[in-house]
Amino acid sequence: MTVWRIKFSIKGRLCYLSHLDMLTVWERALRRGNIPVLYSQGFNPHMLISFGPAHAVGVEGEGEYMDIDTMQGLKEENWFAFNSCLPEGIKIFSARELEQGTPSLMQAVNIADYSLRLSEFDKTAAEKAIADFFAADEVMFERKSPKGNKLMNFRPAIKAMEIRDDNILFVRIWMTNKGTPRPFEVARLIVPEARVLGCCRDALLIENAAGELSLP
Amino acid sequence: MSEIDRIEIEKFLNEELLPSVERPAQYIGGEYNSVCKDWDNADVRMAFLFPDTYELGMSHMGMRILYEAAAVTDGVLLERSFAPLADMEAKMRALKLPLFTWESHHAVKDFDVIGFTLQYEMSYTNILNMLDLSGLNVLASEREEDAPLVIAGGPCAFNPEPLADFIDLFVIGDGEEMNIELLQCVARVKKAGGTKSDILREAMKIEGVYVPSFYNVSYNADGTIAGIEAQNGAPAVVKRRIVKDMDKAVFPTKCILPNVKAVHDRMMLEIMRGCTRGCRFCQAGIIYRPTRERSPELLLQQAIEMEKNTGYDELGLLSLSSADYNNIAWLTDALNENLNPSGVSLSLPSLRIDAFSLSLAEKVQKVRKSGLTFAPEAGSQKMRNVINKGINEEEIIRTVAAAVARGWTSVKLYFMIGLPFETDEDIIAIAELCRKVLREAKGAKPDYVTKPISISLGVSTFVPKCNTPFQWCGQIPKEEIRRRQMLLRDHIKPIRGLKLSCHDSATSYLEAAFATGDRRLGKALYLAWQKGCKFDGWTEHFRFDLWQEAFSESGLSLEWYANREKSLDEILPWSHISCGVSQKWLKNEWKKAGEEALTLDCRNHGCNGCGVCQSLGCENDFKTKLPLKDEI
Ligand code: SF4
Ligand code: SF4
Repeated sequence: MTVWRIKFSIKGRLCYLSHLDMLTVWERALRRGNIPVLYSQGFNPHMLISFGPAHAVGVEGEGEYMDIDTMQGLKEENWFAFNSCLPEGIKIFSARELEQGTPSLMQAVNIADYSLRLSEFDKTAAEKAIADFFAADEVMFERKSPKGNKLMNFRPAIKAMEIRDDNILFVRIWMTNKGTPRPFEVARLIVPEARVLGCCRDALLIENAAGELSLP
Repeated sequence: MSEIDRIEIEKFLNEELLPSVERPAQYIGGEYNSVCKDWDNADVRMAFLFPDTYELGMSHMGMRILYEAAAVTDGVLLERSFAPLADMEAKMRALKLPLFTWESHHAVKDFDVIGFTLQYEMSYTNILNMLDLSGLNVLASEREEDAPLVIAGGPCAFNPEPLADFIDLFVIGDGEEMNIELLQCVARVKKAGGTKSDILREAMKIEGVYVPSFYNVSYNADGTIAGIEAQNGAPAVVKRRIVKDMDKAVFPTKCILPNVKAVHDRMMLEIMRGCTRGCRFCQAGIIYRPTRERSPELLLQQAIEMEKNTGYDELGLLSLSSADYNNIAWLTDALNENLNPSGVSLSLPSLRIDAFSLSLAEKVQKVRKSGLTFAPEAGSQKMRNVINKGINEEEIIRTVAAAVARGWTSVKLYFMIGLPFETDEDIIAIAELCRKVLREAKGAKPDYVTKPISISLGVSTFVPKCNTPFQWCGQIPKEEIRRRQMLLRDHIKPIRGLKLSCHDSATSYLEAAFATGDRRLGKALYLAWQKGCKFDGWTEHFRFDLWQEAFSESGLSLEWYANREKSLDEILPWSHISCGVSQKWLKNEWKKAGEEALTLDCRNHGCNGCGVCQSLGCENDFKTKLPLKDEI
């Protein structure tokens, strides 16, 4: 058995697929491509696939990851050839075999970079809002949900933020189990007057205890 | 609505709609295997509209077939559209965004032809709503000459009359060849500079095409029909179109993979068309006659191709009565052997209640014995004879018990109430039959099975349908249906281990009116839609109160349409549309129903003279039985 770590992108409208529907897309593609994926044991066997942290519906991805358990004997080229079986909008960039004991994506990945494309807004005001954000010790945000609103401190979870190319808000978010800010919420906090026209997760990263970043 | 092109539609979709509607993935289109032909190079363009949700529409076999027929024909472009859910519709209307297609996002209004499939009467208000959402007038007579041609087909088109005000042209019968011929005819006439009236006059010459505006219907003082008169040289009777050789018919092996899970999200293999068992309430059993099987080798090849093209892990063998297919055992063996060894699961809907069907079910549900469904339809032997369901109590009990003995724990039984000649004893007999079934089933349960046996009853209300021996019947009144449902409930309640669910009686009441009504019903339909009725097939959307208002404002009586028994010699609203069956035969079947006499299946017992084969020039087409592996 081999575990492959696949790096891929999701572009265009396919980003509106739910996590479950996306899993179905991969399962069917893998079957079409005759990739010898391993199945779980038991009454309802399913393919041994695990994604990295789920992306919100409507967010594209430039550097997404997934782990797939397969039988031995595949090469990286097989995965590139497999691109022809994937629907338009999904593309594999790289594939490598994992060494035994590599932590799973869900365990390892703790940083996500996002770019939000915004409608017109006041750049100076936004840059001031960003400076104010990092100057404060605590920035509270009220998350609204049908189950009741929740007050969250966004300050510790946001590692970096800047305006790029006049209409892009870049934000680096630290994923914790104490509640992770969502990119759309960050946009609402910093540039409340702007509408989000598109959102892309540019990268998933691993930050170690020393604060060094690496790719999964 | 102002002109809007696909670039604008896409911009609205991307920036306004997809980020804010519920389950946006259903609207994104561009699914794997969908076909997007070049707009400018097409001779004719058709938008196929499914008058219900994406999840339902993508489960529909007929759409897959017509899609494939268009995909393989040069010059013909066909794209899909579905009814948007309430939140999407509200936003589209607020933005003045017209209904668009899933492939290229062109406005539906920009197509040459708009086609609806008529699967159930309760989708009619959605048809009106989708026309309106497209920016078209819903009334055919008020649409401009250059508006798209609006057509409809499908099982409900055998009584198209309630939709006559809204639809320009109906296609009656098997659609795969007819639809292409029609589209090519539209292309031809348009190229020669013809208008919609020219198209209609040309199209009516195609076998199976019915143009409602070419027929004049007059009425008697008592409301019944005095005459139906063909004009403009239209045929007095439109005969249904039929595909005689299923092996030559197109078959989609590159089916579209829906972006959100469809209700039936799997490969579908149409193993045969038609059923001749002759259950007297059943419309499908008449309008798809005779039986036409596909060759088993061809089916195997199609299944293998389909699996390669889709990556699906489930395959449904579709027909009205799968166990009747001559080579069903050979085919299931061959499929099990040749499809992906890591597991393609087969499903066989519409099984008979007998040992053979059970052994088939066992073959296809080897590991996961998910559940079995049988349809005894009636509780007493008398009623089963009335409806010509040739099975007896012993067989039903024996089959369910045998299923339980082989490890199934959940069995669903379908019954119908409100059938002609039914008495209270017949209703109680349903409960009695289920009691016996349950007792035997419990006794048959093997020791290794720990789950308790669950038997559930689905009880629907009989709806008279055109072209059946019961087409003259009225539906029993609503209150009486409720009383019979209560009676059944009272007798089921004391039996532990039985679950009962009854179909809503108000819905079947409307269904009865529209299934057997005439074109005057268009007025009530129009008013109901204006009052906001849509998605009537969905309990949470169904507004019977609005429908009642619509009927009373239109001056029509719902009771008259739904409950009145028609006389055997009156002119029926669909009498100018022929599916091939002889009215004399239907009358005789109606008489035999009253005598509780059976009519045998022509598959095994020779022609019983229903008239379809003679009228349409076709015959039952069975394929020779291939030897099974373990027989060789
Ligand atoms: S078996 Fe009876 S109910 Fe089923 S399709 Fe045939 S005629 Fe209709
Ligand atoms: S005409 Fe005869 S053989 Fe043909 S479907 Fe009818 S009963 Fe069967």
